[in-house]
Amino acid sequence: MNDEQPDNLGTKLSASHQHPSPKLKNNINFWRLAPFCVASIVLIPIIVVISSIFTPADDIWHHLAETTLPSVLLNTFWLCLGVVLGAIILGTSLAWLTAIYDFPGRKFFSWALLLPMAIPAYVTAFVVLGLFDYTGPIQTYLRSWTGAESNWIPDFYGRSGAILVMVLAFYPYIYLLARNAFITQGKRLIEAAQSLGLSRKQGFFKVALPMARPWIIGGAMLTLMETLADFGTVSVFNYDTFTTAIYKAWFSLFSLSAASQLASLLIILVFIIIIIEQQLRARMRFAESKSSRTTFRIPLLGWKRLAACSYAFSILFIAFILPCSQLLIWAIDEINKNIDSRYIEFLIHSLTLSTIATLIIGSVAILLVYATRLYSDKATHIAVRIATLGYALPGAVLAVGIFISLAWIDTQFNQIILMLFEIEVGFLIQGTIIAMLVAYLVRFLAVGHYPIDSAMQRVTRSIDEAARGFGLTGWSLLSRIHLPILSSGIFTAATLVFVDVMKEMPITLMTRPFGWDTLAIRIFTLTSEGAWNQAALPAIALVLAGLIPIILLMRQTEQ
Amino acid sequence: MTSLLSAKQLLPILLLCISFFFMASPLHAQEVVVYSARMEQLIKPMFDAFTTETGIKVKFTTDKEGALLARLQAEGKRTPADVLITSDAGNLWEAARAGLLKSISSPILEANIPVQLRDPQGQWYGLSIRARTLVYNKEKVDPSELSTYEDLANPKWKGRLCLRSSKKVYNQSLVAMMIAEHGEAKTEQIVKGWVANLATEPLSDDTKAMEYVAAGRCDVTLVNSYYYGRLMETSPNLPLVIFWPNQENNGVHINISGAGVTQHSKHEAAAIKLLEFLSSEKAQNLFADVNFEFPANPQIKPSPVVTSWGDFKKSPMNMIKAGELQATAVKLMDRVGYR
Amino acid sequence: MESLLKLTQIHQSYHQQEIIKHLSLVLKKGEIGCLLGPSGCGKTTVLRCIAGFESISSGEITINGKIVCNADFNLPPEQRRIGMVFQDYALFPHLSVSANIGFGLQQYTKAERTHRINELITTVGLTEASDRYPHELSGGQQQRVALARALAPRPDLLLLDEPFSNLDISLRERLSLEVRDILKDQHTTAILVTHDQTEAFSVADVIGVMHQGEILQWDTAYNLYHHPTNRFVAQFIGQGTFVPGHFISPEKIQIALGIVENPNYSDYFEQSEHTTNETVDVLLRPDDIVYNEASALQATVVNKAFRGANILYTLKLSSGQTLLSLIPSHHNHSIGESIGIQLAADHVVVFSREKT
Repeated sequence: MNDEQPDNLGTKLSASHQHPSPKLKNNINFWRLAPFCVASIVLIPIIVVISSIFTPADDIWHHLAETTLPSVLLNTFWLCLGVVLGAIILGTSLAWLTAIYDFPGRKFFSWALLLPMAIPAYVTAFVVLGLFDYTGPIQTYLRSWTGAESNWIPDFYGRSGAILVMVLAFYPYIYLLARNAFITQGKRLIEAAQSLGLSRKQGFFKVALPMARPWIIGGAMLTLMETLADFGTVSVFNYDTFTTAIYKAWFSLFSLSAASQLASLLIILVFIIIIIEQQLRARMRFAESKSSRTTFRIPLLGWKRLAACSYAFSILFIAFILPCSQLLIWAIDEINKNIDSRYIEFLIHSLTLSTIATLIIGSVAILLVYATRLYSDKATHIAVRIATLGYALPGAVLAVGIFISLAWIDTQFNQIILMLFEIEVGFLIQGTIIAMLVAYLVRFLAVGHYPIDSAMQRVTRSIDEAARGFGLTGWSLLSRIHLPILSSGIFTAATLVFVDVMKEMPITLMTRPFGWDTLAIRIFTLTSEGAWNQAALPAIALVLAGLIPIILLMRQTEQ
Repeated sequence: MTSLLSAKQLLPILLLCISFFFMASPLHAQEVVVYSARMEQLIKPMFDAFTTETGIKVKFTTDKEGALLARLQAEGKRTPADVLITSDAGNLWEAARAGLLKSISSPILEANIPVQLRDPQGQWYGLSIRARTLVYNKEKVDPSELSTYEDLANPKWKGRLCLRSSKKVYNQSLVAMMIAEHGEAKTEQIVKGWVANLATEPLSDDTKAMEYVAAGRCDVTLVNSYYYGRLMETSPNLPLVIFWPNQENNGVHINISGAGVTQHSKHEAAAIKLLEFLSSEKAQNLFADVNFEFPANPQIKPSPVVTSWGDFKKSPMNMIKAGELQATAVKLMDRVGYR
Repeated sequence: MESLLKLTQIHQSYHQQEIIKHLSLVLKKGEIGCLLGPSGCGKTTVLRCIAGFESISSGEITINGKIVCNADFNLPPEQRRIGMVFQDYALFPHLSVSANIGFGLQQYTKAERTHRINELITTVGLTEASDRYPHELSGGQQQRVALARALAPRPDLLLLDEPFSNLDISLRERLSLEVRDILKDQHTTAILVTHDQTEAFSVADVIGVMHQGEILQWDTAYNLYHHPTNRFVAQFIGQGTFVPGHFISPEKIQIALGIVENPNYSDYFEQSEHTTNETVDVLLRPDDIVYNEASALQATVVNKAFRGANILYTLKLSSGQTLLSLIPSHHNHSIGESIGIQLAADHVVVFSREKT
């Protein structure tokens, strides 16, 4: 490498990324096409949703624009802003605390702080609301203690409640990703900052935080999409958002097309945000030339120990212990009445689905990340971004899009068979577990993609080049070099996907084969009829099942 | 990592096996497939009884109404579903309007189900009645103060009313029926009055609304009677009393949980048999027992608890209005700011 | 001149293993020092202790007269007014060149900062590249950015950790001279850590040769080469072979190649103690042995390494003694050939015979 000709070098480098070495030629077609294939699978149901833009939805738009739409947009904006900011602050601070410092209970908090993720957000919402609102034990106690009315306490309904609960439910996304970033970051750059006169605190804000940006933004994007798509939580707080408007158009005004049009706007909005974010960091790199991965932690002393400990505990308490205790109280009441052998079946279904879905989504996410590494052109990048859009759509709307697509494919297939052999074979995909898995892929690819993508940004190009020097290409390069290096990102992705799939409802409801009820379905079935006490049992089971990947993950990262 | 690679190769094979295992197998003649928006715990006992009596197996899946309708539409003529069950009239009307239900005629159903509780074309039949009525705090309200739904718009209720969110179909049906009775303009005035009288933001469910009444945050609310039954069963000491409004004029607003046979049903006979069974004495008693609902079949008495709430006059208006006017009702509620 | 950096008896051990053993050194203001030694000798650890990234178990380090650490006290790195150039540069990948250089200038006003950045960008010759990101730069450019970044806040002391090891040889030599010029130009006191002696010679004023956590000799490059006080230093710096000999008079030593006079004595071998016939080892550098066609002393060419102007021959005497000789390259002999050689040593270093 001739050092003093950087311009040549630059062009040489970029040229070599766009045109892979001749050795790679055998694999060109596969890696080149993979992102586009995956993107089109995801895109079909989204197109089904978007295509409704052209079917007129009579006066519903006019009505919405005149009545609820302005306030709904404003509500959505504040909700997203509040939840994303809150989750970033909570997630990043907790991640920094548990990744860098040592304090009593750090090991416990490291994994326990992920637990709130395992409770469906609307369950947390219902329980937290029940505890804090007018009829809840706290206000009731206040009233009986003071003998006065508690009307002066602001209603927990609406914006503040929804933001609070969603921050508590979604911060683990950012926590998990940011923690991964901080742990793999190495100390060298912080040392460099210190040698330049910055304190460790300043080093955090000026180096560690910006270096963790792909992770934090990845987590923030997941949080944003989850917030936009949420229906359950906002319903509990009766807070009107864009998604409630979509549901209203569909369920109340019986206009699936108006609902789809609203959903299309949502997709376009998210896509724009993704593109802007990508442009902003297009030239930056987040890899260190050499990562000095030392597990040295800074012990906290004096009051700081206590402060760190109580901060972590208070978050865990409100986000997990409190709702879980309430669920447990309910569950104990119900356990004799309602537990039966079917719970084993629900549990097995939940675990099976989550495991298979995690394997598929993880593999596809790795494939996408790897394909973009080999071909970093614009088209590939856009294809990959499209492939992750499914997470931003309200689950039920996406479920319909997926269902229509699958039904269409099945129908076409049937017609061909009918033409050729004159027999009816019935649905091949629909009503099978395959339909569910495809649907999960469409929905959760983003969840698998962001952590692995961020991790890949920390692998320097020279590693690829070195490996290619040893004759490794394609699969062998991936399996021998990238997978081991990416393992922490992959584990993170797998945990998120596993838990997300397990608590997913609308898609599971719509695409499950007959009799394939899961824990999440059980929760939905019971809560939709207001049987919250009974729903506590499956909810607790869901939390326990969610512990499995979380514990596995922590084993892996604590090594 | 080699193991991961081989797992990758195994996966397609594995999936194929699983898919064949769970593939929607061709249905046996002695089977009927139900899409139900009525949740499992409120419908499975009736299916079990049906299977015991007829030997016909019931395969069912549950989901929200909107999703089930979209599903039927997407599946078209290849749908495996024979019967659609919903927990309100509006969605049955919408399913019929979208051509998803088939007109059937059955002397048994026509005898068992009163005419205002079924579709004139026989596309759907009510199976249980859900009354949307008033519940008040007996420590704060004298029953003589209460009279009608419309009266809740009276300024004397200012700051004393709690309502569930307008997003729930039960409230939409209620307002739709009021539009059918009073016309849009007058109904708008009434709903506006309700909103003005609210003590707090609309609440997320009926039970919560009753808890607010019991806790004294407001004095009266509008709920489906079975929620009252369930709440009083677990907390019998709450100072809540049920009240039947509009007895002097049109009667209590009712909604139905009902069913229809799908347009492309492959087992129409079995499906009709199921509907007939669901309207029969045995099933109707189950409806009465599982959820404090009122049997649609007038010959069947409600459960003793429900009977203890007293007899009342039900609105005679055909349920079809709830569907026809639902969109109008939703828009009206949007206009007056009932969230 | 006052001392800027002073290490007094610093000691560090980790898991019962002594990394640094009671090490002391003094660096004057404006001086460039160097810790030279093979990998694993503890030189980087010393540097990291000076920087404050690691603590010491005993001893004391002062910078500019101020104690920065001892056994119970450790001033945080950011308060030591040091600059550091890392082996891997540790450039912030998310910041452009000018942002990297301006990183340590938090306290400056915006105008001052811009001025200082521009000044340094010009000094290190990166005017064209100021908006690029580190990954868009060549290795040499990255090195310059790292240097400029470390110099920007005008540190009292600059620490360089193997700063040239990632560069190719030709660039390494040029850059090391450039770096020296820049450091001298800015009147920077600096301490460099390296395993490469040419690098040490071209940059540093004083060099400490380190071995197993100790500084064996803290001296100028000339003295390290010509007056090594220790066998390890003698072997580590430059090339040479030990040849056995014995005193024939207090000023003369007989070795196989002839008689050497006026020897320098290593610190292990006090001049006063020698006696006639006492056996010693004499260090012969390759330039101490020259080619002489006519010489009666013959040696066989065992190996040769072409060095441009010279060839470094490995020769073997009939006695089996191996020698190194630097001979002008026009005297091209093949391996196995026998050539005449002659001793041409002005001064040699004498060590007491190594006890085996």
